[in-house]
Amino acid sequence: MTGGTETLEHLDVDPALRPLARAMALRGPSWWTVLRIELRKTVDTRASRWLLLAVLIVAAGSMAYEVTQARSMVQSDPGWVTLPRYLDTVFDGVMLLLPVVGVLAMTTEWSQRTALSTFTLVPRRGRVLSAKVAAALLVVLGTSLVCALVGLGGTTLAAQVADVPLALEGGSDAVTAAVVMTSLMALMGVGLGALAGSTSVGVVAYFVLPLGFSLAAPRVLGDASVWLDGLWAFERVAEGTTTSWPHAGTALAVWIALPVVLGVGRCLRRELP
Amino acid sequence: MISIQHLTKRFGRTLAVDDVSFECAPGTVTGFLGPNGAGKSTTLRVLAGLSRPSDGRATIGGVAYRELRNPGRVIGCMLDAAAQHPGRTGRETLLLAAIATGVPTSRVGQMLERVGLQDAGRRRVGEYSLGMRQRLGIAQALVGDPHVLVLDEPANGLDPEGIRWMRGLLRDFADGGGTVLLSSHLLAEVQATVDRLVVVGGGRVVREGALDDLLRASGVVVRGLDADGLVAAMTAAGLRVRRRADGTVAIDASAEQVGRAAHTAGQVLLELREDGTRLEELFFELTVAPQVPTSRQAVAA
Repeated sequence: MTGGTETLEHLDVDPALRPLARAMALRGPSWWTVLRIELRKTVDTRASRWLLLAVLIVAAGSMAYEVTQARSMVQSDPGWVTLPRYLDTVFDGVMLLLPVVGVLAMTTEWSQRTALSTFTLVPRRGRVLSAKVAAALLVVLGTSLVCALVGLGGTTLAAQVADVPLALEGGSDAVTAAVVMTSLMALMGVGLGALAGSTSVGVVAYFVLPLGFSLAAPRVLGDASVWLDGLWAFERVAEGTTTSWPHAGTALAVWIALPVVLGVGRCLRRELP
Repeated sequence: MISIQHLTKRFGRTLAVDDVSFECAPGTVTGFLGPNGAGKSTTLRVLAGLSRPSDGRATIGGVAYRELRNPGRVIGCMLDAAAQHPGRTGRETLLLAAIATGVPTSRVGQMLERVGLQDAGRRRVGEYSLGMRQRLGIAQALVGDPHVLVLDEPANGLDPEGIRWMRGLLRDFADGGGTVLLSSHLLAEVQATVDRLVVVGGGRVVREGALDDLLRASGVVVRGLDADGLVAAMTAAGLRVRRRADGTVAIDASAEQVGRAAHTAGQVLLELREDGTRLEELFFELTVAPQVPTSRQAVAA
């Protein structure tokens, strides 16, 4: 928070300039204040609200569908209704959409040209950009938890509809895996968005590049593709089933560390539109 | 208060700003005038710490913008009124600035009122006209209660009534000890608002001084019985002369100099007046041909 002025009376300042000297001594926004601003920005525009709303609609929609199917599924498989299975269903859609907040965090200010006033008020771009990444991750975390609750609600309802006992075992592991996966995807979105420089290119890059690579690489590179397959590595890391950290680590470096470092470096220096 | 010292900015091979120097003092409104592409916006962006100068420096109260701890409390900037998120409300736009500068959030409502947007605060900026965005941009610059205002083309999109409103607001701000620097590519827009002018063309300062001095220095207009004789007499006296389409002669000199030269040559004058209305024309000349050597002479303030 800003606030305290420092005593300047000891300074030999022209009295007419004293108010200015006082204003110059005021503290600037702390990192936490900037984080608060960036968190507000993730929900204070129509576009950003719609993205989060779409995520929740997808989560609730998938659960509603599963609840209607529960009774018939239980007839062929009595153990069908479990929290982990329902969470997987919820996060299939959520994981696709939610990480886009990472892309938006790095591109919106340039695409909407608000970077001009943002960096005028807080000239330390590193402070703004790091707060943006933190805000995006917090939004991913918060929304994921809400989606997990939607999954829990869906499971409870389905168990009642199908008249089977509520099976919650493995639920927390599934939530952890989903949150880690979504966060990794969001970080990749941060990197690709920052590199792309505009919302449209960033969103397309986020959807096309990793998936395209995962589909094409095994054909081109054969077994060697596991070194570079980002989506495959994210999944293994999220599920805690990584058998080879060198492979997964390399893929994570290529799809997250490298784009984030290069992209954020670019945003730090970029001329404003 | 604002000090631009030998500022130069290159983009690749393009020289956008070429050794620009000027100062703005508290209590004054300075017009930064020049055609589009003259380097005004680039200079203001360097001043606001958004762009690094290739050479020279820009300071506010002796401090470079990036060194200011809480810049919004010292200097309020509106660098582009159109650069607002269309999906955000006007009130929210100001609230973000209030949080960043650490002023009480009650200032948001006050500033909306000050710029006449109190009824539009809850509407999204996408629904605003350009004139309303200018007002919002000015409010955003004012939120931090700054001592300096820097506005890039603030009159753009304002109707005559809006321009008059802005004139009053900036006058009040300057009368309260504030420093104002505003840019424009139209002299008529700012002529009644500013005390001082810095005219740029092709990245260089081509004329600088108090508005009144610049008006006075724009020369005299003379009509005589014998136009050719008059031109010859003035040229013989070493004065710069330009014939105009209506048969009068424009001379870059004082009325006394012209009167004496005419008297010496025995020329009869029918009309001799200070050319106060010529500033627009002067501005046009200065900026169209910025490389003329005499244009580097600044008029004494």
